[in-house]
Amino acid sequence: MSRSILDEVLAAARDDMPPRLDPVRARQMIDVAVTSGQTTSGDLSRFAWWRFALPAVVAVAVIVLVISLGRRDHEPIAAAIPPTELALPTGDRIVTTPGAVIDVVSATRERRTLRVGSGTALFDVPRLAAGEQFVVHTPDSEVTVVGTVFSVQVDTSTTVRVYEGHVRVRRGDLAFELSTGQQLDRSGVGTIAADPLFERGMALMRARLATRESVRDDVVASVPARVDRTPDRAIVDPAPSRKRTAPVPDSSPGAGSVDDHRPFEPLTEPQLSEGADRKRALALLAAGDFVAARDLAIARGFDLIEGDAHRALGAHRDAARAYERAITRRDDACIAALLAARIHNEKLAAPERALTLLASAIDPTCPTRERALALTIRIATQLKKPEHGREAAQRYLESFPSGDHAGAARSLLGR
Amino acid sequence: MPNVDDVLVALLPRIRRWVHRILGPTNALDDVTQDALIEIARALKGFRGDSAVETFAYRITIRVASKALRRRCLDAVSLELVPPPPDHIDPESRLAHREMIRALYRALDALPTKRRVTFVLCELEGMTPTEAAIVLGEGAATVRSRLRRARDVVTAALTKDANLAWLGGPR
Repeated sequence: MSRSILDEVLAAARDDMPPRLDPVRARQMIDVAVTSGQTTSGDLSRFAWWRFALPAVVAVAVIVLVISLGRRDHEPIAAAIPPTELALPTGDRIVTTPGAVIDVVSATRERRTLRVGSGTALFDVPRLAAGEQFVVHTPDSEVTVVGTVFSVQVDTSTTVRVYEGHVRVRRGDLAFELSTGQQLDRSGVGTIAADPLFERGMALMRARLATRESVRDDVVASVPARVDRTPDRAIVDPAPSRKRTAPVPDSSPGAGSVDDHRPFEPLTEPQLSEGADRKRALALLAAGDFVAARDLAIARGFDLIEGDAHRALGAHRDAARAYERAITRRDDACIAALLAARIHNEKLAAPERALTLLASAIDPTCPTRERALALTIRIATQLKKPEHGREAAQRYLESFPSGDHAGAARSLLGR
Repeated sequence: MPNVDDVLVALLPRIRRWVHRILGPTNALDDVTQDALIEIARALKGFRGDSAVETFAYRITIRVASKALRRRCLDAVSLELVPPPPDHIDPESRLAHREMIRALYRALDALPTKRRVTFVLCELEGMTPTEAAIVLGEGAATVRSRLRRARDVVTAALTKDANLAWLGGPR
């Protein structure tokens, strides 16, 4: 009789397969192995050198255009196949219409600057962290983003439409702040009207609402002061703050009023206790009902659980955002930072971002410290940041002299 | 000598599955798989064709995975690491499936590495003891004896596992 338990368990285990392997990652693994196979063999258990020598992955799924990182002079890029979807390694997404011309002026994490010369481009920009800036220039306008879905249509003048979140637009001596559902065209600020990418914008807006991006207080990105040009109109935020800024009054016709800038209202939910809901969300996760777990976690603000659900559903970008929100909660900060960093590095091809996030996971009180330090060493080596890697290796050895990665850390330090 | 890239491309899904079966659900799956790929790529230089390439790769994978087990460089099996079963299964069965996988690997963790690997080859990979003996480079009688002991230990552990109490009545 006792065999039947074994038979049932074995039947389940025989059906069990490993998680799906991303084709890009698979190719990367084979490349490392082939390259390694051409070198002399070493003791892998002591020094898994390949983990520190993985080539940087320039990955992205469905793009036609190549966008280069770093400080290069802008290169005009013309959309070849409409509509074209681009994904910057920084996590921003862009959809363009046929013939749209976009220049990438800079694309570092701290400063993303693009120029739309003509056509329509729809931008989906994750909420910016303190010190980050996302700016779009057109021939007659400058759009500064706080974390939003918006489009820019350029023909004889520029029309900016905000599907979710808010942006600041500077046009000559005038400054405007637009929120969800507003647009600015040549006649001023009004209710959003359809543009060539309207359906796409609405879809992104609904996705954003589902992830509750705009429920939380936004971090206001720093905007360079221009008081010398517009002393009574400039929006000056010399330091990031967590408060929504009031719109700048503008006397031009059709300008938006303060009353138009209403914050996003969260959806109403039944008033259940947080503890019971958390348990329910975890149970849904455990049961594999990831969609329900995700929805409940979103509704109740359980960022870590939400991240787990997104991750299980393969929505890596959403998972990263949820984990990053969880970092602000003291109890979850360490594990959230590590999980977010891993997703950025392994799934979103954003090792720089991962490195930044790992700083929150290596605090001496963090239970994730060892894994976070090991990952820091790996990514710093991958990004050719030897000082950063050595510093992490030093800290690793101080805390975990007999850890699994101690050998590799010593090799990095030349010991 | 076979083309290394072609061999690895063809074998990667199987290698990964073998690692997964031997180690159980773990965050270290891709790391250990990578180690195995590297060892296989290096060893292919000296491959003389006296066994099937798959058997050759299997032996190396077992060695690498066994080393990983002995190093205990694996994370605990958290529930979300267990991949979900096929979609047509209802939520209760999904939970049961996951719990059974976890219980199995809890039981396997208590076995010596050789017994664990033997159990995986025969009970999960479907090899006969003779076939497993060829892969492991050991005698068939040794493999049969090891398998018998492994089954007894695993059965006893599963029977006692409180999380599987719902699986049946008196035993």
